[in-house]
Amino acid sequence: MQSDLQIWQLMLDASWVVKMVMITLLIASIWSWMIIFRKRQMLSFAEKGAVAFEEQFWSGTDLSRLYKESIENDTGEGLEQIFEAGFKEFARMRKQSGMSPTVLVEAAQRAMRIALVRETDRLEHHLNFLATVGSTSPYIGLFGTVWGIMTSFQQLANVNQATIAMVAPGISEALVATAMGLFAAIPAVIAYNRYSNQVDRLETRYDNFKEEFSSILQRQAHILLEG
Amino acid sequence: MHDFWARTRAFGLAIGVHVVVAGVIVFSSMSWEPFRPPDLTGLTIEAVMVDTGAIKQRREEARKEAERLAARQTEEERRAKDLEARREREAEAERQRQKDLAVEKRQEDLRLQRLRAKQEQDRKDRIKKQQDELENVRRQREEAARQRRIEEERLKQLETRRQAEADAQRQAIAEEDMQRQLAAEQAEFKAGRLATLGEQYYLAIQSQVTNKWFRPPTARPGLRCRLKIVQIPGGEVISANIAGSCNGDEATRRSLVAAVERAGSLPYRGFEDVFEREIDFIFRYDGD
Repeated sequence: MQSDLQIWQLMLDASWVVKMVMITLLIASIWSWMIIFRKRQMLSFAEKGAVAFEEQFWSGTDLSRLYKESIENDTGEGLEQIFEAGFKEFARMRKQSGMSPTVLVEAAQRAMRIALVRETDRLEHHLNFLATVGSTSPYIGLFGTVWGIMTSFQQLANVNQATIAMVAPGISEALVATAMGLFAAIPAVIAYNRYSNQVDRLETRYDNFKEEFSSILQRQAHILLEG
Repeated sequence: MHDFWARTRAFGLAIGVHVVVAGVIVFSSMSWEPFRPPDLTGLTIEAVMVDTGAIKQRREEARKEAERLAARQTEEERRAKDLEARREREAEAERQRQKDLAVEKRQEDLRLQRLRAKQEQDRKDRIKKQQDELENVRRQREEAARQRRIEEERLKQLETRRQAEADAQRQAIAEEDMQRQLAAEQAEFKAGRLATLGEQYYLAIQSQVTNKWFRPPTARPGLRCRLKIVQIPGGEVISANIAGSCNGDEATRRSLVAAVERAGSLPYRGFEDVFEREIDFIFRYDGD
């Protein structure tokens, strides 16, 4: 009974500074795991959506019908949002007379750029928390450990015959804090690297789409206004 | 609402991860030694033990000395007895050795006699064997001569047969050639009529690009250039560039890309089934 309570015993016996450190690390760890699960779902959803929309877009359907469809289901995100923004702006500017094709296309491009930035921001949101946890929680854990070792040496000062058995429990309980710090940091760093790479790739994809779509719009504008 | 549930789910998963890890840690720390307070009493007891130990030790040493003396005396008596016994054993061994020598000499004589007889026998055997060998060589030579005659006979037969086979083969090849030519002619005829839609599509692209091409003076007949064209439904060209092998010079390449861009749109109507967003085709020019 005594041995399986040991790790809890260690935590409960710790000084209040070490306890605070451990609680902080636990909260950071739970939070970062929450973000890991949320982001994973979100990114895979975004990627699937992008693939599906690109396929639909390049299959040669009518653009205005595609626009109507994407307006109707409002769950659209990513590419769909960019497409909607560009097409809406293009349609609105076209109604005003006396526009040169360059101005038309530039307006649509601007609208798409704004949508792109908004989408990227949405994907990147919360990722920096993972980076913070990954880089600082080992230091927090280390602080707890150093504090614990300091106090356990302090207790040795009044004893004549010092044995290793007198300091060992204190050091052991202090090291728990470092272990917790590492436990919080490692998954956070891995997830951060992975997800930021994924976000980068998605962003490139959106950007490519934006360019291609604006070249289509440019052609349309020339045909409409000159022919 | 959807967002709330997703967040709750993520929170549950995160808690789950931590519970699992805590469980693993507790389980693995079960085998740790429990902490014991340090034992401080042992040190003082040791100091008292030193005094009584010395007296006991001295008494013990005296007893051991007496025992050692007695042991040495008995040891000397035993050694004298051993010496006597050994001397007797040596005399006995000497007598035995004399006897053994006599026996050995008799055996040696017998062995020499046998050896001489055997040498005589060997000599006779050798002479007989040499005669046998001479006989053997003669017989082998005769056999070889016979073999050679048979071999020559067979070679002659083989030669005639090979000639016959070669004649037959030549005839067969000639026949096959004729047939293959016939088949090729037929296939060519068929292909001419039934060019697939894909081929027609590529031919259409080729002619459209050729029409818009201002041929630079450096372009020679036999030009082959791989062009990569990206288009959208409707046939509008988005981009064109040289991809991979091209045996023309820089001016030719640029003129080809310019030709595609000048064409503006590729044939689309009637080719919807074979439409591809990225077209990879080889431009050919073989002289006007």
